[in-house]
This record gives sequence, C-alpha cells and structure tokens, in this order.
Amino acid sequence: MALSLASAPPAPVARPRVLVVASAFVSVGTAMYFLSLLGVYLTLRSQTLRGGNLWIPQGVQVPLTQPNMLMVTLLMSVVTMQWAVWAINNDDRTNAYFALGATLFLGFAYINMAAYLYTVLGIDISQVAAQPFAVLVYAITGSHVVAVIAAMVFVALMAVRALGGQYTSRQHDGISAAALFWHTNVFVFFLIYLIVYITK
Amino acid sequence: MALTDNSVVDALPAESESVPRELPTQAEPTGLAGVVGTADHKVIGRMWIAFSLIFGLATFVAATISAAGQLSGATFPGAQNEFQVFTIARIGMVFLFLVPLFIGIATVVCPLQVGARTVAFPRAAAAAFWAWLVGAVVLITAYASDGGIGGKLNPDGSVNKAIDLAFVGFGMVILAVLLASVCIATTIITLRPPGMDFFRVPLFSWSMVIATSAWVLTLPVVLGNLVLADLDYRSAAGATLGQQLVQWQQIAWVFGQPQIFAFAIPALGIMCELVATFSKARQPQRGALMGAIGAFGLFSLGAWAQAFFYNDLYNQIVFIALSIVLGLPILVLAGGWVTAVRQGALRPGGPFLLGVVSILMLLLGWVGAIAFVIKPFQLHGLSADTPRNLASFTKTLWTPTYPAAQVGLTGIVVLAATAAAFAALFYWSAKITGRSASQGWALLVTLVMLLATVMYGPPFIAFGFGNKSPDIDGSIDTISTISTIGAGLAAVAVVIVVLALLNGALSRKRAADDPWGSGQTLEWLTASPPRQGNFAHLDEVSSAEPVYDLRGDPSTETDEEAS
Repeated sequence: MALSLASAPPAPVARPRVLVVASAFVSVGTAMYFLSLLGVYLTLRSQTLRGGNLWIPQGVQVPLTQPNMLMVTLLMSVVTMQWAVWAINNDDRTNAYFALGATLFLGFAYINMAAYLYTVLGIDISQVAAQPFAVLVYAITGSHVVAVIAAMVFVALMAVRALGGQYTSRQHDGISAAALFWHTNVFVFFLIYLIVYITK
Repeated sequence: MALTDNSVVDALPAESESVPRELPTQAEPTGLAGVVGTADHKVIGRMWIAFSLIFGLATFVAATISAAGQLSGATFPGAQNEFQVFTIARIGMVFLFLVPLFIGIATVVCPLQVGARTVAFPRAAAAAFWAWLVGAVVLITAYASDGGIGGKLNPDGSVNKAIDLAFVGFGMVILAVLLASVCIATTIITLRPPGMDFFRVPLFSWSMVIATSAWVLTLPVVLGNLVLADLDYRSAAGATLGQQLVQWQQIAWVFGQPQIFAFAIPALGIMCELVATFSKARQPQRGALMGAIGAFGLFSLGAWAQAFFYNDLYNQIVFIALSIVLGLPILVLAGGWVTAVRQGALRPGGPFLLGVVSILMLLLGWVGAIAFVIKPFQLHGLSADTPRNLASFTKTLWTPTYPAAQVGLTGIVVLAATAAAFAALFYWSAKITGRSASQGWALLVTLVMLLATVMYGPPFIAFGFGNKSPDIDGSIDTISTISTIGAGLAAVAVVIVVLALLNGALSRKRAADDPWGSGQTLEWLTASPPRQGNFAHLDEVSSAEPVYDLRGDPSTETDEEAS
C-alpha cells in the first residue's frame, strides 16, 4: 500500500486570551475590594485596642472549628479547580467534568458552613457595643460568600460550555479564566482566615 | 449570547494576511431595537458620550447652585439642602460625567486604534452602559427625594431620606464603570493586529490601559467604603461608619489628591495624539512617554490615602512626596511633545489648543497639590485663626477629610480633564458622528474652558488660605461669585460642545477617512463613520504610526497639497 505524506497541518492560530485577561482584571478588582475592607478592619482594630477598649464585644466567641473547615474546603477546591484545568489541557473531558463538578460541590459546602458559622457567631449587628467589629465581620465574610457564589456561577457557565465541546487543549480560556477567579477568592479567604479568625 | 461571549471572529484582530476569515453577515437591527440591543462599540460609545454630556450639564448646574449658595443672603439651595447639592455635584462631575465621557470616547476609538473589529465582550460593554444609566438615574432620584449620601441632621431632627437608594445607585455606577473598564483594557491588550506589540499601541489607547487599570485598582475600594457605611447605617446602631455626618467623609478621598488625578490619565494620551497629528511628525521617545503616562497612573493611585482612617495622613512623608512627584511625568511628556513639535510642522487647530489648555490646567492642579502639603500654608482645615464666617462653611460643606483646598483641586483637575475630553470629541468627531465638528466651535470652547477652570477651582483654594489670613472674611462674597461664574461657564461649555457636535452631525458633508490629513494611527484608515466590522482588511502593522508609513511624511507637503 502506498503511503502519501500530506502537507503538514497549518499552525494553530495564536488566539488572544481575551477571557483570561478580563478575568485577571476582575480578580484584581475583587482582591482590592477585600483588601480595602481588611485594611479598615486592621486600622479600626488597632485604634480600638490602643484606646484600651475591647475589639471583640463581650460575650462574643469567634470559634475556630468552622473557619478551619472553610479553609480546608477551599484549599481542596483549589486542587479540584486546577485538576479541571489540567484535564481540559490534556483533552481529558471526563476528568474535566468530574473536577468541575467537585469544585462546585465544594463551593456549596463552603456556603453551607459559612451560613452555619453565622449562627454560631451570634453577633447582634444592631448593638452599639458590637460596633464596628460586627459590621466589618459581616461585610467581609458576607461579601466573600457573594464572591464565591459569583465564582460558582462562572465555573458552572464554563462547565456547560465545556460540556458543549467549546473547550479543548488548544482552547481552554474559559476554564483557565474561571480557575483564576476561583483561586483569587481562595487567596482572599486565606487573608480573611488569618486576620478575622486567627488573629481576630 | 452571554456576557462572557467573545466569538472567534470578534476575538481576533481585524483581518490580516496571516489570519483570514469571513466577515459576519447577520443583519444589524435598526431603530429602537438597534439602539437597545446593540453590541456595536460605536453605538455603545455614542450612548456613553450622549448621556454623560446630559449629566455633565446637570452636574455643572448643580455646582453653580452650590457655589452660589455660599453668597451671603443666598436662600437657595438653603441650609437644609446645601450639603446634598454639594455632594451630588462632586459625584456627578466624576462618575456621571468625566469618567463616562472618557469611557464613551474610548469605546468608540480604542478598538479602531488597535485594529479590532469590536470591543472585547460587546454584550458586557452594552450591559455596563445600561447599568451605569440605571445607577445614575437611581442616584439622582435618591437625591431628588431629599436623600443622598451623608449630610447633617435637619433642624427638625429628621434625617435625609433615601440614603440606601443613593448607596445602591452609586454602587451600580461604580460597578458599571469597572465593567466598562475591563472591556476597554481587554480590547487593547488582546485584540491588537499582528505586528502591533505593546510599544506600538497608540498613546491614547495606552493611556486608557493605564487609566482603566488605575480605576480597577481603586474603585473597588470606594465600593468597600459604601458597603461598610450602608451596612452600619442599616444596622440602626450606626456608631462608627454609618453616621450621616461621616458617610461623605469616608468616600471623599476619591475626590481629593492624589486619586482625583487618576481620572485625568486619558487627558495625557489625548494630548499625545493631538501633538502627533497637528505637528505632522512621528512622536520621538515613545518609550519615555509611555513610561511617563504609566508613572502618572502609579502616582495617582489614592486608595491608600484615606484621611478618614488616618488622621495624620496629610503630614505623612509618603503623601507629601507623592504630591510633589505627581506632576513630574507631565513635564516629561511636555518635553516629548515639544520635541515632536520642533521636528514637525505645527499647524495648531482647535482641538490642539483645547489640549494645551487641558495640560496647563493639569499643571495648575499639580501646583495646588504641592501647595496643599506645604505646612505653613495651613490648607488642611480649620485652625485657631480661621475666620468666623469661613469656619461656618467649613463646618457644613468642607470637612477635615475634604477641606476647601481639596474641593478646589477637584474643580481644577476635573475641568482640566474635561477640556481634554472635549478636545477628543472635536478631534475624533469624524469617527464618532461621521461628520467633522467645526474648528470655530472648538476655539470657543477653548476660551470658555480656560476661564471656567481658572475661575471655578482656585477660589476654593483661596478659601483654604483663609485659615492663615483672617482678612479673607471680607472677600467671601467676591470669591464665591468668581467660583459661581466659573461653574456656570463649565455648564456653558458643555452646551457649546453639544451644539457643535449636533451642528456637525446634521451637516450633509460627510467627513473624509482622515479629515486632518495627518492622522498616524489605524482609526484614520477606516471610513467615517466606520463600517460594520471597522476594517475590511489590515496588513501586518510594522510601526507605531502605520498610517504615517502609508502616506509618507505629511510635514513635507506643500500648503496646496495639504488643502
């Protein structure tokens, strides 16, 4: 049987990474939002303590068990998210779907635990004695829950597109962009964990 | 089509020999559907421009009323409303007028300059515009309902209404500006044609990358301030952050130095384009100019400079040092512009003169910023020597985190940047409306803007000097009258620009592709107004001035050839 060599296929078009660049901007903006809130937290905490006053209102206990679980959950989600990126890079669609599903599941677990933590904390935001600690804790952690929900929507949308066959090893912008935003949110929670829950 | 959609055809730069593909063939909707449902960057940009000019007129009228309210015997807006008029005028100047105007111009021009078929994420860009419009209307509605951000307890013990609505409206406006910024920056970074590396990006587009990056870095911080203030206000306790008296003080840093300069970054890029076109010469030392614009953006990042949380901020060495170096990049740019003008054959037109006024006023703003950190001037706020009448203003309108001198600085920088935005509207009118706006109108606007800037901002700085000079008590009415006229002139300038654009748009004479005859960047290669998809064909870009390369050196043309 005669073999004929076809001419080499054309080199893939260098696609601009539009979604990844946009996601980088959004991630930076999100990080700045939380850094500003944490900056205010640290500033007011320092001023309050310097004034000889209590920062955490009397009777309020900030537990560590639930925040530890939140941190571990999000760290696991970093692995599953990166697993999805690796899988789509290798055209391993089954693993990609599984990893994206696992990431979303861990996102739900985070929201569930965060909601439970609010019931354990039991800070009454309307009490003057709890100001401004309560406002800052609710603003920071509540905003982070919203950010994680936004990241989950992003991941879900990209997962649907991956199911539709839009992403391959040659074009995986959507998954990479979602991963970038997800990792940013995990990094932000790491800061929250250190500042609000560990050093309080 | 989802917001994150950026189809293969749209995502790629305009057709080049190495990237051939078909043009999209679907028919564009017309009429109202064409406006509401459009994803065409030219239409979206025009809507940003149109509504920002409308809000700009309203804003400067509010600024006029606010300034006039300082006159002794003034009964309008009255003690109960003067703070609301004052704050909506500041918010309006920046977030309902200046920034949206720059976004509108960039949405039309930047994709053309970088040879893209459209803006990145056109649906998101359209959503940003509509979100901004709705947010602006909500914000204005809140103020119109005797509400607004901050204020003081009314004499009868009541408080402002619709405070939450104002927070929601302002928050929406900021989110919309951020979304539009992401679309513009992404367009310039990713949709450039082959051969256009970063060093070859047109300088206006480069300035928009720096500006939008600065906005993405700082505006989320304002959002954080708003969330904290509103949550505290909603909690009923409102002990620290939500009190009416301190709500404005928390966000006032956005309107003071150095952050206010971040909203003027595009002015530098506009001037670069004007110098190159009107001097008909390649811009030498492009790298230095790009670096200077970047440095200006870096120095103007002001999210860290929140006097509300750091009482001693104005005496901090970092704040003082940054205030001093802030304007140095403008001097570097000016050196580059002078070099270009000397190498070329300058024939200054209306937009060029407007640009020159803008830069001079920006330098005036820098001088004001330096004066603010010179301690003996006592511009920071109340002192023991503050005259009685002036102190009464300071207690109501000007706060320790936003003293009179900063109010003046806001006026100078915003009007300086406005002059540049108006110059851009005249300069790119052929691409924005398809018709060239008259040069005569531009000259008139130049004169009016010069007077407006000089008369509106500096009087507030003069009030600041009142802390040192008790004699100012007798001149408060004179100074207030000058600032009132200045604000009124700014409103007049907006009207003139609108009339000039309308007059041009209604004329039958369609503009040439390059009405200046010396354009250097890609937008001058396409039709006026640009066709759908912007470019039918683009060769690989081989320099920062591709149209200059095609045409040859226009400075060697004789007068007859030029005409």
